[in-house]
Amino acid sequence: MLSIPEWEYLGVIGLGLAAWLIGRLRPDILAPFGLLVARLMHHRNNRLAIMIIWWWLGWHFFTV
Amino acid sequence: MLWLKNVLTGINPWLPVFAFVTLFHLIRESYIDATIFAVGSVVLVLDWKKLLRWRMPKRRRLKGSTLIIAVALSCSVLFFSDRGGWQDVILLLAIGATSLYLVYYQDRGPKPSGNGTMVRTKWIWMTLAIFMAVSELFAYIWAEVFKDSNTYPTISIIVNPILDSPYGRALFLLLWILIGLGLLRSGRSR
Repeated sequence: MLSIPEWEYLGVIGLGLAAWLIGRLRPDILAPFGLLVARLMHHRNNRLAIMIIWWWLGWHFFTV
Repeated sequence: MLWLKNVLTGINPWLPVFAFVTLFHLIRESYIDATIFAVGSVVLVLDWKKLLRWRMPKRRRLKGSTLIIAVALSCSVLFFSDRGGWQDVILLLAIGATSLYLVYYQDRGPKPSGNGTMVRTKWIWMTLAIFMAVSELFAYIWAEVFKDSNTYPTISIIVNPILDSPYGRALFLLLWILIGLGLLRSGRSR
C-alpha cells in the first residue's frame, strides 16, 4: 500500500507525462515541453537558476 | 517606498525562491544544501546588480566530440566510484562550475513565441512543480512531527535505496546527464 506522499508524487509524474504527451500530439492544446524549456532558457535569469537547481539535484543524490 | 522599488528593480524572480530554500535547509540543519543555495543566491545577485565586471560573452559552442568525452568521463566516475566519495565531489564541483560558465552568456535573438497555448502550458507545468515541492515539504514536516518517514517519505527517502544499487544509479545518472545536456543545448537551433 502506497503512502499519501507517494500517491502525490506518482500523480504529479503521471500528470507530467500526460502534459508532455499532449504537447507532442496536440500542440494546439499544450505547447511542446521542449518549446517551453527553450523559452525559459532564453533568459539568463532562468538559465542560471535552472542550472543551479539541476546541478544541486545531482549533488544531493550522488553525494548524500 | 520609492527606495525599495529602486533597490528591487530588475530583481531575478528566482531570488526569493532561492532565499526561501536556503532558509529551509538552514532550519533542517542541512548546511551543505543551504550553502549551495546561498552561493546560488549570491550568483543571482551578482548578475542582477551587474557586479560581474567582465564582458558578457556570446553563447559558447561545444564540439560534439568534447561533449561525448565529458559525458563518458563523468558517467564513469559517478558510476564506478563510491557514492559520495572524493571523486564524486570533485567531479560535481567541476560540472557545476562548467555548467554556470556555459549558460552565462548574453540573451540573443527573439524570445520563442508566447501565445495563449504557451501561457497555459507554463501555468500547468508551474502548478505541477509547485504541487510536487509542497508535497515534498509536507512529507518532510509530517515525518519530523510524527517521527515516521515510512508513512511520510520524502523523495530522497524513496530514491536512496534505488541509488545504492548500481542499476538504479546508472538510470538516475543517465536521466540527470540527459536533462543537463538538454538544458545546455536548449534553443540552439532557434
